[in-house]
Amino acid sequence: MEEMHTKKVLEPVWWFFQIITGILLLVLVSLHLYVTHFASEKALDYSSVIGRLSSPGFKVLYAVLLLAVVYHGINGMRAIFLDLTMSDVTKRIVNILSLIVALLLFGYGVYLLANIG
Amino acid sequence: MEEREVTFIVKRFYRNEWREDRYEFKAVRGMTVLDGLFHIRDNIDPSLSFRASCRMGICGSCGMVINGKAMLACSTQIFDLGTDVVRIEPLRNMEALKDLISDFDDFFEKHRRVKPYLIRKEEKSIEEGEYIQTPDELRKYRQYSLCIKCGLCYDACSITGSNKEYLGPAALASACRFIMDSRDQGEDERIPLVSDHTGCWRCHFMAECSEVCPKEVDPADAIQKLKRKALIYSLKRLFRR
Amino acid sequence: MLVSVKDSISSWFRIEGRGISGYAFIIHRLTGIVLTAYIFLHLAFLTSLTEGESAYTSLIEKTVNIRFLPFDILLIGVTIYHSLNGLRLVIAEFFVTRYHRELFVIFIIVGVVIWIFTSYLLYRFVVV
Repeated sequence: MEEMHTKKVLEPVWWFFQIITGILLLVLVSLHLYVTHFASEKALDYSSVIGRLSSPGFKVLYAVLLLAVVYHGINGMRAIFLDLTMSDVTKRIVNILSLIVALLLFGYGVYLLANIG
Repeated sequence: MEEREVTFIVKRFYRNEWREDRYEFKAVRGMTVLDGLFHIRDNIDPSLSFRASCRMGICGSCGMVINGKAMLACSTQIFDLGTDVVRIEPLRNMEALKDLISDFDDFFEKHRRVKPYLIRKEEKSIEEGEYIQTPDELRKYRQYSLCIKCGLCYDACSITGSNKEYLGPAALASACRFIMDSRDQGEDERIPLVSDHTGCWRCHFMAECSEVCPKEVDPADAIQKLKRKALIYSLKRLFRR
Repeated sequence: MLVSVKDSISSWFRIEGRGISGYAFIIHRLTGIVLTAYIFLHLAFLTSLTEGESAYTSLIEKTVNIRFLPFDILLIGVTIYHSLNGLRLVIAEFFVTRYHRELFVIFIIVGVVIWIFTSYLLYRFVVV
């Protein structure tokens, strides 16, 4: 019997997360756009942006949005790259690079969240 | 009988070279594209090569690209195409062998790879009788068993064009056909095969495979079912440990 | 055998002989790439917030501007398309595939309505 590798076991889970983050983004991005562009005409003034980012509620919301958007975007790009014909070594490079880019993006976002407001 | 002058532009491949030939002839109502090709071979150019066997959409030999879309030449009437200029190419995501004949080796190898046969943990002896199945159990996979391996979906899918390792719609639909079969017990072998980088995760539901399928197998639907099966299988494995 | 990147890309974006779901896939892939690129751009913009009020305000004055309105409208269109078609894909991949063509038509109509409405709101936000 063929044993299923941990990596193969996780592949469906990545797909499932892609769907979950997609639905989450539909809600969070709508909310984000509503707050920054449609709710008030002064929403993008320095004071109101800093004011929003100082409240813990918005910080948590933005952290979740950041995580979802980085995962969804980078995993999506990874899927596009894996659609190309490639050797197992290149596949591994794509996977590792995706992880690094995702961590960098998330890390930078968290740094911004910690330093603003 | 209604007659019309038509032009067939055939993209031909011979000894590593591509060329296009134009053939003009009178087509009559009821003539299929395959009839047209036979007419050309018999009356205009005997060197034109193409595959065909049954002439009635059952064998899956005459799959080719007609005006940009993969179709069975025998099931497509010339007058139904809506144009008098018919462009014909061999299937695009396979190697061309000669003229309209393409190399199905990869396609069939991938089909073999998903183990398209019933796998039993313990085989019953003949004396014990057959594996019984209810009509409802049959209905779950019957649609996917209608595939004639004509390769049209393989041409329509954009991922088989970019990733030579991708199993492709037909092979995955075949895997689904056996996974959905109540008599089959090969889940542990088959799901790991279809649930990796070259399997169902390469499908992004373009659904063009189902558009071109002449037997309405709906491979796109089969692959989405596989994804769900693979997820459930994976979650079970993750939490069993 | 390897397929060149050029051939792969022409295979993904081939328009000839495609149906409605084929076009949906092509646009979904393009919009996905655009939106991923925008994540980087967005985070880069936010850097100005750490550099104090004047840096941020001058950036906002430059970008929240009638000249950038067409890009804003395009970006929101891209977002609406990717989210609604994404929702269609979630329904097809996770629940039923049967109604995906009808859903596409419905979502395109709904999406265009939302797009026009949000474009108007954006116009008001930028101009007023």
